[in-house]
Amino acid sequence: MKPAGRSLGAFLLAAATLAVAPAARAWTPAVNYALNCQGCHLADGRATPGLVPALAGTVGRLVHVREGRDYLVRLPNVASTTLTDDETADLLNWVVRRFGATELPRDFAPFSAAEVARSRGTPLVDVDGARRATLEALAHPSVRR
Amino acid sequence: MSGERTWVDRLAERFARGLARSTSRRSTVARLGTWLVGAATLPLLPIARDWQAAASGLPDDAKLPGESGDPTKCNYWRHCALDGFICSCCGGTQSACPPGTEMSPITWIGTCRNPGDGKDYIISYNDCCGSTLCMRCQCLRTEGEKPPYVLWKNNALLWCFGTKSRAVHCSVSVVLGVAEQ
Repeated sequence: MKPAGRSLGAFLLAAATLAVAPAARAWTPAVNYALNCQGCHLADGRATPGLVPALAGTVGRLVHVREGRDYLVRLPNVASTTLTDDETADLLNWVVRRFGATELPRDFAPFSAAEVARSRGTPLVDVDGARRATLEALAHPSVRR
Repeated sequence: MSGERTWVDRLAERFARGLARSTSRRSTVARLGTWLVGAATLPLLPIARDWQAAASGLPDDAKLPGESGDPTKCNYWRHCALDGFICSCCGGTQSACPPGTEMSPITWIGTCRNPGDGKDYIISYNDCCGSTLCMRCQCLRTEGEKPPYVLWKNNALLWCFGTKSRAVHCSVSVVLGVAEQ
C-alpha cells in the first residue's frame, strides 16, 4: 500500500475503533467517591490523621467562603480527576453533604459544572497562599458559624 | 413475724428439694460450662461473621451471587487490576491478610465485573505490610488501572501507607459493594 493509502487506512481503522469503543460509564457520586477519593480519605471521611487530611468535620466549613470552595476544586486530585465537570460537581456536593452536613451553611449553594470548570482551569500553584486566604476568609466576623 | 412458715415458703422449699433430687451439682456445673463455652464459640460461627459483615456495610465475601473461580489464580475475577503477590497463596485469603502482616488502610480502588451475575463490583486492592515479599502467585492485571501520574489509580505503587512497616508482603482484593450507575 502506498503511504497515502496506509495513512487513510490507519485513519479509518482508528475511526472504526472509536466508534465501537464503549462509552465511559457514569457512576453515581457515591461510587465515584469510592473510586476516586475513598482509597485515601476512607469510607467514613475520617482519613488517617497526620498522613491524609480528614473530610469529616472539615469540608462543610470550607464551603462557607468563596476561597474555600475554590480551594476544594483546585486541589490537585480533584482538579486533575478524569471525571467531567458535571460529575465532579455532583461528587463535591455529595461529599460536603455526606461529611459536612452539620457544618454546612444554611444557604449552601451546590457546586455547578461551570464553577468546577472555572476553578479547575486555574492550577493551584501557591498552595500555602490559597490555604492562608481560605483560613483568613473563614476567620472574618461576617462568616456565620 | 411468727415462726410459722407461709405457703410461699413451703412452695419454694418443695421446688428446691425437687430440683435437688432430680439434678446433681456436678451435672449443673457441666451444663453451665457447656452454655459458657457455647456462648464464647458463637462469634466464631458463620452467623456471627454475617452479622459483622452487615454491620461493616461490606457484602459477605462468601455469598456473592454466582461466585466462581480460584482466588489463588491471577485470572480470578476480583484480581482484575491486582499487581503483586496474591495473599490467598501466602497464608491469607482474597480479602484477609496473612497472620503477622497488617492491612494498609490507604489503598487504590477500582472495579471488576463478576462473571457470576454480570455486575461491576467496587474492589479495594489493599497491600498487606510488615513482612518480606511473599514471592508466591505473582499477578499483574491492569483493568481500569492508570499510569503513575494518576497516583490514586496506579497499582505499581507500594501502598503500605499508614502502617507500622512499609515492607509489602502480598495484596488482597476486597469487595466493597456493587458499583451502581
